[in-house]
Amino acid sequence: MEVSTTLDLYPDTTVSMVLFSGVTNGSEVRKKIMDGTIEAAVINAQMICDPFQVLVAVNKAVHLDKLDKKKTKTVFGEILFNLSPGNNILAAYQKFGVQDAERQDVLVVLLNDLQGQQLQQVSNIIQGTRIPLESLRDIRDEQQIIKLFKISEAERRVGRLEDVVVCRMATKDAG
Amino acid sequence: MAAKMEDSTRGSGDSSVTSSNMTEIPTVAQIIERQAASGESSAAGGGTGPPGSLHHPGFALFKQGAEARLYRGTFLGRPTVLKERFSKKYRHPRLDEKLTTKRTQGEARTVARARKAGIPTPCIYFVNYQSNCIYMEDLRCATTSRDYIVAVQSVGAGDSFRALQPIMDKIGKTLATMHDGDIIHGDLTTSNIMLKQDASATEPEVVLIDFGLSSVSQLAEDKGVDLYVLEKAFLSTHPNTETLFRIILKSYTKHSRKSKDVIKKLDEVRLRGRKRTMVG
Repeated sequence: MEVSTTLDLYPDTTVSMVLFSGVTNGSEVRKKIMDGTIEAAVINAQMICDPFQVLVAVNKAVHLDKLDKKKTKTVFGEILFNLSPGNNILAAYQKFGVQDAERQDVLVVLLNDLQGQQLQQVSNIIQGTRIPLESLRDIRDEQQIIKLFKISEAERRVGRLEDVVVCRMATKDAG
Repeated sequence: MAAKMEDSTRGSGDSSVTSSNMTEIPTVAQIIERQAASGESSAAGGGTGPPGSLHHPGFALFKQGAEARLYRGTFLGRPTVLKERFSKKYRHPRLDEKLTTKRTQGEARTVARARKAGIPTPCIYFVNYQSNCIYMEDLRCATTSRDYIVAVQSVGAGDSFRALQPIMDKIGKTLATMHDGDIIHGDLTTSNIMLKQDASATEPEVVLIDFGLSSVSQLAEDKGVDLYVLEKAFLSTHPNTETLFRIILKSYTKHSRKSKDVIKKLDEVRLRGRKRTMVG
């Protein structure tokens, strides 16, 4: 249920992704992220098309982190920022971060959690059920994603939704 | 097309001859399969690139151009093409840096713009502005229109025109959409116009690549020149294909909202070409 990948361009970085369903303590989780107890990216799973999209965001975040050119303060904040189509950091956190809802599905991203300790800690805090990463495709809210990214009919037809979004993410700072 | 999809050399099913049939016109899908079967070198090569290039573990060099090197590899689980723009030593280093980054940025920007307009292009996964590297989708199940036209013409059958017409139609339509979006490709050749057709598709799809020299312009003159570049490349690469190119223009005119002025400019540019006198 926990999927780990190494970044091809940064082999010293391992990325773990875990999907939690029916999370009831979103506000508490957010507080713990802000005070530094949780060191992870906790993402609103509805806004994600595919795990590949998350890896692309992580890769860019790690890249900028190594160059010390992040726009946000932490690499996890940068992951959320990269997922967002715009340049407003707060808006990115609001849309893609853990929500204030009573029930939500979240995708947790950890870096270099080789012993599984971070995941253990996060699992103890998050009140939800771990489900397979493949379920992400069923959770995604296509309409919301299309609306937020302002994807036109023409652009939508170019390829899979995750590719449309990934390309937008990759070319966001090209001007 | 009848069944027999398992047979890797024939798709038409009307002949039981397994050796290449000289009058059988290949489909795009067949050419794609043929190339995949024979030409594919392993994607993961590792090793160092040519001297002066950055080391890209897991990527193998497969093309060297005037401005950039192309590598094939895997990125986050996906087959990827890495386009690395390199510095030109004859330039002043600061200017060189600026120029190279500007070109990389421009290419990324135009690809984004093209996709917004509905033009299929490879998906960009990551741009490294420090090293001027663009990591993008490696188009699977695709061939260049150049290779396809050559393959069809080499068969020597009389009706190659008929086989190529729908492809030319699609190309014209794609270029019309592109120009209506005020995007100038800048380097239109049959090697930059790909034909993609994966297993689930009934027809090939036109995909444009290499936006390295692209720009944005509303001017009919720039669009006319874009078409002129294609015309020259087309006719020099594929002899006796004036009729085919005319189909592209016809389709372009049909699908473009602003074609009249563009074609007019194309005619003017043609007259302006090399070794032409401009009197009056």
